[in-house]
Amino acid sequence: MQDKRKRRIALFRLGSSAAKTGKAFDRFFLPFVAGAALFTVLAAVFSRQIQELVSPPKPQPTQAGPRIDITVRMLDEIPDDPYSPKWDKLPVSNIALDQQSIVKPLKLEVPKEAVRVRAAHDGESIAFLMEWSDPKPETQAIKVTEFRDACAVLIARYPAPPETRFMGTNTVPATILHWKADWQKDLEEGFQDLEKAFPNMSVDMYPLLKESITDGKPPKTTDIPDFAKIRLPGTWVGNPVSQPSKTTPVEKLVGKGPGTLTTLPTQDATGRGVWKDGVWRVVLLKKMKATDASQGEIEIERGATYNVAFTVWFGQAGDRGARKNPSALLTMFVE
Amino acid sequence: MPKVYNWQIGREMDYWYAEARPKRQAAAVFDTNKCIACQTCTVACKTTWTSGKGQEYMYWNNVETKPWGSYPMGWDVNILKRLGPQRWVKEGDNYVYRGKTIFEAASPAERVMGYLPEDLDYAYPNRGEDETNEPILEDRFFLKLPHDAWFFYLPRICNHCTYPACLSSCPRLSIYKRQEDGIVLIDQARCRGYRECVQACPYKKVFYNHVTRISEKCVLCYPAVEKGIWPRCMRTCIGKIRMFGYLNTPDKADPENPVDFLVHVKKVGLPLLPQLGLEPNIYYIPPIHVGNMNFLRMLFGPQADQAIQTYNKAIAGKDIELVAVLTLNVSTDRVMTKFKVIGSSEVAGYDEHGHEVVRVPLKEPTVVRPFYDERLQVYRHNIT
Repeated sequence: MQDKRKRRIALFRLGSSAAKTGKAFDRFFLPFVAGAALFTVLAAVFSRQIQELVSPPKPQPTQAGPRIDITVRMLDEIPDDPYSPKWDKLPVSNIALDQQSIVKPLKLEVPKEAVRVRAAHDGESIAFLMEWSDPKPETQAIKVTEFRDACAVLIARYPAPPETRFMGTNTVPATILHWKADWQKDLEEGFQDLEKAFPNMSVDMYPLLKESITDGKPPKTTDIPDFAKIRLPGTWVGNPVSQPSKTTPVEKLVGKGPGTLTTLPTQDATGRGVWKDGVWRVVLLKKMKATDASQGEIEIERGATYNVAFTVWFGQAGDRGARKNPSALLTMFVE
Repeated sequence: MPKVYNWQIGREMDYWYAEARPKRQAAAVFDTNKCIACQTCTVACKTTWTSGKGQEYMYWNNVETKPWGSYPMGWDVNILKRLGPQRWVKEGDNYVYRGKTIFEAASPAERVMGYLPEDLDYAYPNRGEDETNEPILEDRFFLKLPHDAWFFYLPRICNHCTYPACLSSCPRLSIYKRQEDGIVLIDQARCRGYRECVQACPYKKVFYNHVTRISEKCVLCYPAVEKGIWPRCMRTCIGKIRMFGYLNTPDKADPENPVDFLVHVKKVGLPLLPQLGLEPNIYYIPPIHVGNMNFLRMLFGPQADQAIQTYNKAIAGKDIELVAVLTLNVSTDRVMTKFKVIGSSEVAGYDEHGHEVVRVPLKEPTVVRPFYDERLQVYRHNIT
């Protein structure tokens, strides 16, 4: 009993000594607890903002959004060489090519292999690498029966009606990047002139160019002076197909339905195609900020979703215009 | 496909677009009996329109010798072979084509049945020139009509068809038919060189420019036509085989209009391969000396027999009006919309404002000079 009493007294003394120092304890400890609680609450409320401040966002498609077929990854720099190893590090989307069965003339044959697509952007430009098997490259369109290989990317806003797949619609214009193998060759090797297809040709006289003919050989088309270009009607009226001097193998166009394809005034799309070992690899690149927005060119923004379609023309099969193999209308997300 | 009426085949037919005839249709009649294949028309066109680089092989106007000549090679045989045997049926007084046109015979994937010529097809523009239908043997007679062995010249330009196959085949809508005169043109700024038109035109009168990589065709010298002047190939014709003007449909035929008169009233001007269904607007008076009527019926339709009979009547002096209109051929370079026989010795042509633009005698005045010239004391080889 004695021991119990002693212990009680000791505890009381301890308690009263703690009570003596109670004022100082309250002054520091309680505000600390309250501040921590407030911080925790604020951190919980503004957690998203704080997280964005600490590490910049990596845009992700929302869970409720569409199924993404192609994701455009961000790179420091987009390689213009289709065989750059940087492309190989990007994910590949295998895109099946279909018939063109909407607008006559139709193309009902379908290639066995899919076209392999990679996409990237650097914040300024967006680029696509299209890769498909083609046993023989067709890079010339000089003779009547020659048709060149070509490919194209169609970009439209999301969501677009399914018919947008065929060159856009009246209300949903499609931006089209069209790479042409003959333009590529014109650019790399100089204009593929008449003499390329008919090496033994000779000529007596072209009106306006009498002095330009030596030993029966015609002047190079690129050397024909402006005043004499009236004898090259397509060139004279400014048709982009007919210009012997090319600046890019990729034409930037807008389509508002079949038969409406129109060359855009600012030709700032670029690219390059290389055929190797039975495979075409083609880079098509455009600026993300539209330079012809008023004409219907699409603006590409990070974190946004778009509709896209890919098309390949096999020159050897006589493909041109509507005779082509387009893909379905796909969804593309830009990181 | 919409149904359109083609009076040349006497029935409705399928066409890619609905019927939309121009306000008036530029047309011409070529008298094959007078063509000597001098190629003046060819050269006039060549120097005017197709003498640039990339156009070397183009002949918007060419003259080929039938039956063997063709440019591009085999254009007629190729399309007729693809079409296969077809038939015309006489219903009442009219012939109706009961076969298939190239629009109706097209595969389900195509708009028009056609083919793309090869390079070599364009390599021989004067192939078969002056070659007779069969070897000339000694026992054949030529001083009679028709000839046992024969050939004739067929000058050809774009037909500026009422239902152009080129226009219907273009997925880019680069080809149009002008409302004001029915001339068919390719918009050089729009064309992208797909060559669907080259493939579709059965007459092969659309050409691919090797340098500009787009297609081109006869423009019927529209800058001249707009001013009431004949196209170059027609006004330079030294054989005076051509009559240029505007053609009405048969129900609106004007018997005073020279072209209507030849095509609808006298029915001597016949379309080239009407069975293809394009309603071509260049008409031909068939040759009267050809000993194979089936060949002419194939080329110009079943009315070839009647046309030759009518023409022969005019030669015999029994149809002064027909002679009068044929005399107006290439007598002026002004477009005539009316003609009038003055008395029985002259014919006059009038433009659309009613102004007389030409007056020619039906029979050229001739002077016969003596065989021996007393003053010069020489014999003349030619006394008329």
